[in-house]
Amino acid sequence: MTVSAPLMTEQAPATTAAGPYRRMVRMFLANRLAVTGLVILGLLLVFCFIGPLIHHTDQVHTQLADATLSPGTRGHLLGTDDVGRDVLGRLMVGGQTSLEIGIAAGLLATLIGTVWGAISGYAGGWIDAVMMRVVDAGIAIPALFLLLVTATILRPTVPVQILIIGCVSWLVPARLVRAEALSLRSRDYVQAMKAMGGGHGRAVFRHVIPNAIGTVVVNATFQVADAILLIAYVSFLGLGVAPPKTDWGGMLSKGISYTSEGYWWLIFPAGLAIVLVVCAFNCIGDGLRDAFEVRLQGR
Amino acid sequence: MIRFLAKRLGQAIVVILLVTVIVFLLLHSVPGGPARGILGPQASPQAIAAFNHEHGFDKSLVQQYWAFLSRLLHGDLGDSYTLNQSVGSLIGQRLPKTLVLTGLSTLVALVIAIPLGVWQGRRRRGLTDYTVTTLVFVGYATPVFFLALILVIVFTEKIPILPPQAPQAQTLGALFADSRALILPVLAGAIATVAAFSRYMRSAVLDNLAEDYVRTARAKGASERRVVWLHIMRNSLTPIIAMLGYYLPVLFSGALVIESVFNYPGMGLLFWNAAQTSDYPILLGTVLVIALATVIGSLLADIVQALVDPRVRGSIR
Amino acid sequence: MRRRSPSFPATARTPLAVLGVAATLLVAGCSSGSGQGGSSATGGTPQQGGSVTFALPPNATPNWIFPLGTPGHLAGYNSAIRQNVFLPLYAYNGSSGTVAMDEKAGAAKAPVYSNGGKTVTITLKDGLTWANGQKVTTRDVEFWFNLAKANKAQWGNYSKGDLPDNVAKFTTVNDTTFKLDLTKAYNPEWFTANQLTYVTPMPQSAWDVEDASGKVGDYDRTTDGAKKVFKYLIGEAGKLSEYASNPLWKVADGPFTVKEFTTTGQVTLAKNAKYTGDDAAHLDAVTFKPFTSAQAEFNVLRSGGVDYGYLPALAVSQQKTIENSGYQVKPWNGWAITYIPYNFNNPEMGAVFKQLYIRQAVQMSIDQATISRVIWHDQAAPGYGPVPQQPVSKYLSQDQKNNPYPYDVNKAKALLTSHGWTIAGNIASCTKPGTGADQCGAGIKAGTQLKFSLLTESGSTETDNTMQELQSSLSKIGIALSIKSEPLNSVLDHSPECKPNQSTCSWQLSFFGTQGSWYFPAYPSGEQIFATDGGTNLGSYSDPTADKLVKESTSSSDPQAMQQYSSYLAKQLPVIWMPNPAYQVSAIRNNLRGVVQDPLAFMQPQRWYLAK
Repeated sequence: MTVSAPLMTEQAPATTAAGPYRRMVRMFLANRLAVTGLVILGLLLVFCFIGPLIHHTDQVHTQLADATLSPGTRGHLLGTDDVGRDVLGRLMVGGQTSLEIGIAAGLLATLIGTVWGAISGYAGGWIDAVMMRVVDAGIAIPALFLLLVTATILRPTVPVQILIIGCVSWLVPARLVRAEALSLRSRDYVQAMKAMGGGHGRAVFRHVIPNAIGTVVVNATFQVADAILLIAYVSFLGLGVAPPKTDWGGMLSKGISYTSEGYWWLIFPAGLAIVLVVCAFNCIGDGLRDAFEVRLQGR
Repeated sequence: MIRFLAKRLGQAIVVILLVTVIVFLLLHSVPGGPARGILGPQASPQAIAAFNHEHGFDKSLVQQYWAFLSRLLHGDLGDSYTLNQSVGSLIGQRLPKTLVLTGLSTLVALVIAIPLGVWQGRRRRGLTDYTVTTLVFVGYATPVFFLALILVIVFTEKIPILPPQAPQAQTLGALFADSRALILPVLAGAIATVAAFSRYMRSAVLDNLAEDYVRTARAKGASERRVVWLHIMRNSLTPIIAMLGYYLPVLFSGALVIESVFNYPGMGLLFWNAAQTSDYPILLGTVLVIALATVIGSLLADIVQALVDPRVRGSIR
Repeated sequence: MRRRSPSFPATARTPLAVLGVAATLLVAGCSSGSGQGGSSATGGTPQQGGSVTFALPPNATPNWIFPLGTPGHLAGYNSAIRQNVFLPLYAYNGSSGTVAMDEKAGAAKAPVYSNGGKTVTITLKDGLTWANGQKVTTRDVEFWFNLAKANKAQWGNYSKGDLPDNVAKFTTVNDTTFKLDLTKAYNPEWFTANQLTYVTPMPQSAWDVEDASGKVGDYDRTTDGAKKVFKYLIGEAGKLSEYASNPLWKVADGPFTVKEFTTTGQVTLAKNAKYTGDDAAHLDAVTFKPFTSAQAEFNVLRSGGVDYGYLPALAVSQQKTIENSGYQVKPWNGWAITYIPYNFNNPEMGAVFKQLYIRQAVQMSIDQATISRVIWHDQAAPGYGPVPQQPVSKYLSQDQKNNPYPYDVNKAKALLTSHGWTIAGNIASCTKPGTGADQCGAGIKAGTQLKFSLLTESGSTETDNTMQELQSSLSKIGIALSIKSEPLNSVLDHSPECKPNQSTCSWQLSFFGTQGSWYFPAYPSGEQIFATDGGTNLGSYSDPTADKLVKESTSSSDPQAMQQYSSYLAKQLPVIWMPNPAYQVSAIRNNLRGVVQDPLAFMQPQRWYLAK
């Protein structure tokens, strides 16, 4: 019995029948967790973005007369919050913010990190040294400090949050892509291109980045998951988006302050939503990674 | 090896310098300055001017930075605006506590995550596999403040067996004497990191499985158990070690939340309170200490890595 | 200043302001006494001796004992603690049911004003002595004046034109009597309550030294000498850990002495065995215990670790639990008002804020009664003007008391539409610029939209919700309010008094009143906050009538002056009046008696006792 046996047996039929990408898809679909993650994510997207079209609620005005109604009262399926807004409807708009910021910031971080890492690794020498020291310095400063300081300068709108979170999260992908780029750099075809005086930009964008694409895509999924968690922390620390907008983290941390009151509907729906969406992205990322590994092995 | 060390040390110093520049400039570019908040609205313009003069806010940014740097080189982190103590002595009181907390929870996390990662790396798809993986993901996906709340509700209210507060003792000895109170904070910290560590471990194991030496060992007739636990695990530890060095700031952010939830007066709480009161010397001091720890951590990680993994040793130039 | 902390993990969000507004402002009062407010039960058989633990608010680290505080050493509890060790000339408090002078807690008999309010004659009490055996004399008061005069720039409470500038001449009549000639006529009530309360006799026989050699002389009588003495004393005052051992601070004339004073802020006062006045302490010791968060305090309170503590705001539902474990729960109301200043100098909205009808519309959109009841769980009370409304005082006008602008959204909306604003898509824009009666008003251009931005204090769920309610109700009359929350200290840093062309003038509205925006000294006049040249007139409010009324309230002896001021500003709306939250919700152990929760937030622990 060999250790890699499970991988071998599962992919064996595919190897003969199809190209690497179809094998990847199959590999991904064979991972039940990954598929579940994809389904959960789809459902959450529908809930947040289609939901408000069906479940109409006023998420702008407060209704102090209806504050903290328990679930089921006066047509509020999940009750109301401490200023009288419908919690179900709030989950939908809160989810929009969480997902928008999370996905956009995760992608932004990956983009910056990929380009930075690819250039650094491809260029090598002192350019690499300087660029990586910047990354090291960035890693050494707690993201929280950067968040706190920027929050006192800027108004917390959604684009600003995307920018801030994107800018504090690009360091890890930068290191990963650089490592890939370093190993690619020594490959013959890149060396050949350099020798032929091919454009550096071309080399980076046509060869280095595409070859690191597996790492990049997998990392992007995890980046999104991490970004969603990070905005939850940011809201918990009171630096979240400005009202009347909210996000799941903001809802959760506000709910938690009512623990002793027993208002469970202010805590668990939002908490569950965060756990679900972060899990979903992690499962997808995991599945993707396995799939990409298969592609690499098949090469 | 000596050249390698010298080079890495030089890099570390550059990084620290870079950190001081970034942190100092960011903090001092906040408009308004901290005087009004520190002195209160009652403060007269004269009092504010005196405060700004005393703390050098009336000088140019470059002069301020230079003064800060030269004090720093003498080992002086300055005095807190609000807590009547030097930043150095405050960090001296708080740092050991945070080290105990994060040290313990990291240790617990590693003890769980390393075998888990190895097991996951060799996994077969099956119910147990899916269940374990899901659990790990859920642990990862739960925000620490939410996790802590659930732990507190479960273990102090539903099944009241543990205290809701971390030990409040001043000395480390007394801290350990009240070890039951440490369980929940340590657990909260550990659960969140298990998933991150085991993920690294798993991918390292996967990489190693494909390596030649594994095949060689097998061909030589080494038992499967020996191959996995001796060869693969040993070599797979490298990424974990490398990561630990860089993981310090993340651990610190986690510590901040845990410390405030369990009311544990460590570095995290110190930092957070200073952020609330615009106590710049403390903010600068804590961020610097963490940056220094991270840089030293990654330096040590590189060295240990070289000792553990023969492949890395070869690549050191 | 107390930060409210929502229960459990939200402590993380709780900003722990050390030198917040209220604390600093309280010192300005510098007048102490016992309040009516939530006095604990009296009666029971008083027991001599015993000790009591008092919970300090999060991070309210006491850090000063010397009677002249330098900037940065004005935290609220410094003076509350100090007044029990070094008696001020006069103390004010609420023990009589309203805020008034408490002669027993001061060092002098009531002052006598003559010469139309330009001269004050003061006689010290007989029989008060320092712990070194010396009598408390006029020389000790002169010592205070000399040091304050020579070092006023370094005295944190100094405000130009006020004490010691307004005392032209100090004349010693004899050992116990002295005379102050003032630079002009002042309202005696104002002068005693808001100025003389700063004066604290200091033991000249022990403190008049220039250096560590400890040689006592009359150094304070020259400006140079007074500077040296002051420098030496504040140098000693900087060494917190020596407070309990330094012989300087042992020379007390109050009912307590310092027994313990740590750098982390734990203070223990012990009964002063050498106290010779008529207000001796019942208890042997009182310990002031610091906490890192309100939640930490609450956990200790639940386990019975403090005798006099407080409930985090959202834990008010736990009142029963606390009461069952042997405490009584009472709000401690502050002598304060809470408000949101308009920045009249803001380049974009200043002209809008200057329109009274706009301010009226804003005020009428705020449902203070519901906000106090639902959001603050009745731990805040509506406020309609510049004079504190709890406890009721003779300074409060009928106009303010009866709320000139009751909540009425339709009326508010009509005010805007009748002044040339058209509301479309939830935003009002000016369609009739000009200064006519039905036009927007001076300086407002056509097309101006009512979009306000508000800077607010973070860390309190109640404050967050209040601001959301404000945002919601303003949107109903066409005003879009954008909210940004920051820690209390940043809010103060970012909403300074400013000129329109300054970059710091971009703020429009600012809220820093989670525990009350402004705590008054005993006489609640508004020269600091609503006079054109007020030191904390953050929004640059300027109105000639208001200036005149403020001036009358401090310099004429007309008893109507304060009421007229109260009535005028209640109607003029220099700021948005908001519900005023309690200073704290206290939990006092049942057998701890004689406690008065002073609205000025001072304490008289010498009158506390344990019942058998």
